[in-house]
Amino acid sequence: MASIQDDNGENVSLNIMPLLDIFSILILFLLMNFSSEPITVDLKDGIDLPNSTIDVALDDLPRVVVNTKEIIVAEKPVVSLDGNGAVLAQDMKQGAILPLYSRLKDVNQEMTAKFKEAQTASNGGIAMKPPSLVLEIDKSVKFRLIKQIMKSGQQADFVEFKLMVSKEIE
Amino acid sequence: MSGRKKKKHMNSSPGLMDLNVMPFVDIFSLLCTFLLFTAVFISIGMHTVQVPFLAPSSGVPPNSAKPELNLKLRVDTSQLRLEASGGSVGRAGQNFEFPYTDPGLVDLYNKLAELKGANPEEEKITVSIDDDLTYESIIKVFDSIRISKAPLTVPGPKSTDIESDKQPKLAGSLFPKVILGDITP
Repeated sequence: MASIQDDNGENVSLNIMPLLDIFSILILFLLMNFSSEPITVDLKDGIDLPNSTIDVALDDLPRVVVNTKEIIVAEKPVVSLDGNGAVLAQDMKQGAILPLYSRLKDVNQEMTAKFKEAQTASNGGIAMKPPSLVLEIDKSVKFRLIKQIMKSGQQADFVEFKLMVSKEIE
Repeated sequence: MSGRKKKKHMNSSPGLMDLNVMPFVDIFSLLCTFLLFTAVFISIGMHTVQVPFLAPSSGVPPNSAKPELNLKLRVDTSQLRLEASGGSVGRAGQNFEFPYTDPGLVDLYNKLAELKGANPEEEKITVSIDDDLTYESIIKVFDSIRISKAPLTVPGPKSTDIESDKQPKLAGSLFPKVILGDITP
């Protein structure tokens, strides 16, 4: 019980036990939430993911963020889109997006170098998985643009793409 | 008897001890603030797709008498077209068409579950998508290829931990290897 004394010298008590009850329940919930999601993702502005029934969790992989205005790789904008959400003609080459391809090529080389270091440290105990890319795409983006992005990734030697979705709450 | 009186320390309320909970409240409020800022309220999932040139082979040995089941799903804005050949369908193949609506997606799922039941070792499906479809529409189709919440009209692959009083559940994805046929090298 918390208490204070007013001007007349009388004690005024405040019952804070319900507050402690609420705090303890809230902390339990947040602690469970904190421990159940090992990888947290901050969604970029302008991204609204579609809902899905899939239950596969997110991996810690390089991310390509696609909204209606630009394409971002590893927190850096790479390509700007026009008003219709399409890539500008000067950025296209052979069906792929040239600046995106260059950036993804660098990312793949970094990943390969890190894997080789890890493999050396573990004496060859780690098997390399196929190079994968996570795509965080706004739900209104057309498949035409997604196809161009995947083609750019394919030419940069990424063969598997993980499409990020928002899990539906049942 | 001496006239001394012993002074006794007396509490304001004999038998009651005050407990200062204010530091407790301070810690709780700080902890709540920290956890609220780091809490994740949107759960993220992933659909994995592959591009054609690295498509892994199925579990069927290459010299098997039973030809491999080839599934091709063509998705456009109004229709879903499933082309199946080989496996239990036969070399001539069969085509199935479904409208691109929620009931159509359920029918597609049921047909895929039927094909999976007849060809349990097959895991691959090739998907071709119309350029004008949105990402949200594509994900709905991928959900139907994997798991659907709609009840099955035909029995599909069953889980090993079936509860007797509940509907049998699928063990996992119908065709986990989704290959995008439009992404050619």
